[in-house]
Amino acid sequence: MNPLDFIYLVISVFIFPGLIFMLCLALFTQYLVRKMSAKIQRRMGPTYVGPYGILQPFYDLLKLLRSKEIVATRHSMVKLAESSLLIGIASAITSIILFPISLFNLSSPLDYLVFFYLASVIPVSMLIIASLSMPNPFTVIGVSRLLSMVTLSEPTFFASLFIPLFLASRGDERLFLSISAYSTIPSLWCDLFTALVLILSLISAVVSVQAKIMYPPFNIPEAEQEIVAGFETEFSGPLLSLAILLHDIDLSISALAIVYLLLAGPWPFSHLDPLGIVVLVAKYLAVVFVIVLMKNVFGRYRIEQALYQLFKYGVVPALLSAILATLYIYIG
Amino acid sequence: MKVHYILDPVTLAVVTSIIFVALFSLLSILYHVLKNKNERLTETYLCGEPESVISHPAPSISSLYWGFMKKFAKKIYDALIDLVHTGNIQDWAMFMTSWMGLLILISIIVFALYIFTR
Repeated sequence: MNPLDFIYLVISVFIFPGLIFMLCLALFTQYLVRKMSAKIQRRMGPTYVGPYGILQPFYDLLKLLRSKEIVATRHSMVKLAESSLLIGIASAITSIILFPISLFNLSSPLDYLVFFYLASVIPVSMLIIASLSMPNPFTVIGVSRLLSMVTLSEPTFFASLFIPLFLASRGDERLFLSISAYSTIPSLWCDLFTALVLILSLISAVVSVQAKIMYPPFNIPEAEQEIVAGFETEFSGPLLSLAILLHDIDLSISALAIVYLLLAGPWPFSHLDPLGIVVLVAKYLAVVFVIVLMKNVFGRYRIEQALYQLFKYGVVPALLSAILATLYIYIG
Repeated sequence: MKVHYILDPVTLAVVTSIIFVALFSLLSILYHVLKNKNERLTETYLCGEPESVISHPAPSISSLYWGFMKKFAKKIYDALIDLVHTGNIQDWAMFMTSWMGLLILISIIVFALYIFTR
C-alpha cells in the first residue's frame, strides 16, 4: 500500500464515510425521524436548536454525555455496559468501509458475511450484553422480548439482502457475494422475474429493519410505560447517549444497505456525478420516510402479534424470494 | 479519485478487525474524556417499590429461554410434547426417522437437480 492509499484509508475510517460522517448521518437521521413523526402527528418537532432544529439531536447527545450523571445500582456493571455499547458502535461504523460510498473501498468474495456480522449481529449482541449488565426485572423482560424478535428479524434481514446480492454476483467468482456486485442490481430490476424477487426482498427488508430498530409496531422490547423502558430501563446519562447513538447508527447503516443492495445505490448515475449524489440522498430519504410512516401508522403489537406479523410480512416474503431466486439460478 | 482493493476473505476479516480496534480505541478515549464522571448510586428502579419486594435483582437467565418458549415457540413446544415426549420410545423413533427421511429425500432431490442443471 502506498502512502497516498494509506491517507485515503485514514480519511475513510475517521472522516468520510467513517466515524465523523456516520455520527453526523446517524444524528441527522434521528432528526428526520423526529421531524417527520412530528409533522405526521401535527406537532412542531425539533425547532429551536440550529436552523429548523437540525442540531437538536446533537445537543441532546451532548447534554446526556456532559451534564447528566450515570444512575447505577449496586448490581450494575457500568464499565461492561459502556464497553459493550462502544464495541457495537465501532463495529457498525467499521462496516461502512465495505460500502462503495467509501473513498478507500475494500472488497472480497463473501464480504457480505463480514458486513453482516459487523453491521447487524455484533451491534444487537452488544446491546443485549449492555442491557443485561444493568440488571432490573424490567430489563430482563425487555431483553427476553428482544431476543425473541432477533431470532426472526436478523435472519430475515440477512436473507433479504443476501438474495439480491446472490443474484447480482452469480457467474463472477471473483466477487461472489461481494457488496461491489451491487452495480449489477439495475439489470435485475429490468427483468420481470428478478424484479419480483427484488420486490419481495424489499418488503422483507423494510419489515425486518422496522423490527431490528424496534420502531412501532415492533417496539415491544422497549414497551414504554408497560415495562417502564424495557431493555433500556437502567440506562441513564452518558450510557443512554451511547445506546441512542448505537440505535441511530444501526438505523442509518440498515437504510444504506437497503439503498445499495436493493435499490442499486446512485444508479442510473455514478458516485462522482452530482446527480448520483442527489439520487443516493433521495433513495435514502425515501427508505427513512417509509420507516417513519410505518412507525406512525401502526400501534404497538403484543409480543406474539409482533412475532406473527414479522413472520407473515418478513420471513414469508424472504422465503418466497429465496425459492424464486433459486429457481431462477438453477432452472431458469 | 477512489481506491479499490480486492482482497481475499481472510485478509479482509483481518483488516476490518484492525480498523474496528482503531475505531473502538478512539471512541473509548473520546467517550471517557467527554462524559460526565459523576455516578449516583440508587436502588433498583421498581416503579417506587423498595428492593425488598424482589428476591433477586433480575430473573434468572433461564427466564430468557422460557420467555421465548412461552411467547413464541409455545405451539411448537406443545406439539413436540404431544408428538415426541409421550413416554413411548416408538413415538420418538417414528418422529425422528420421518423427519430424517424427509431431509435425506430433499438432499437427494437437490443433489440430483444440481447434477443435472450444472
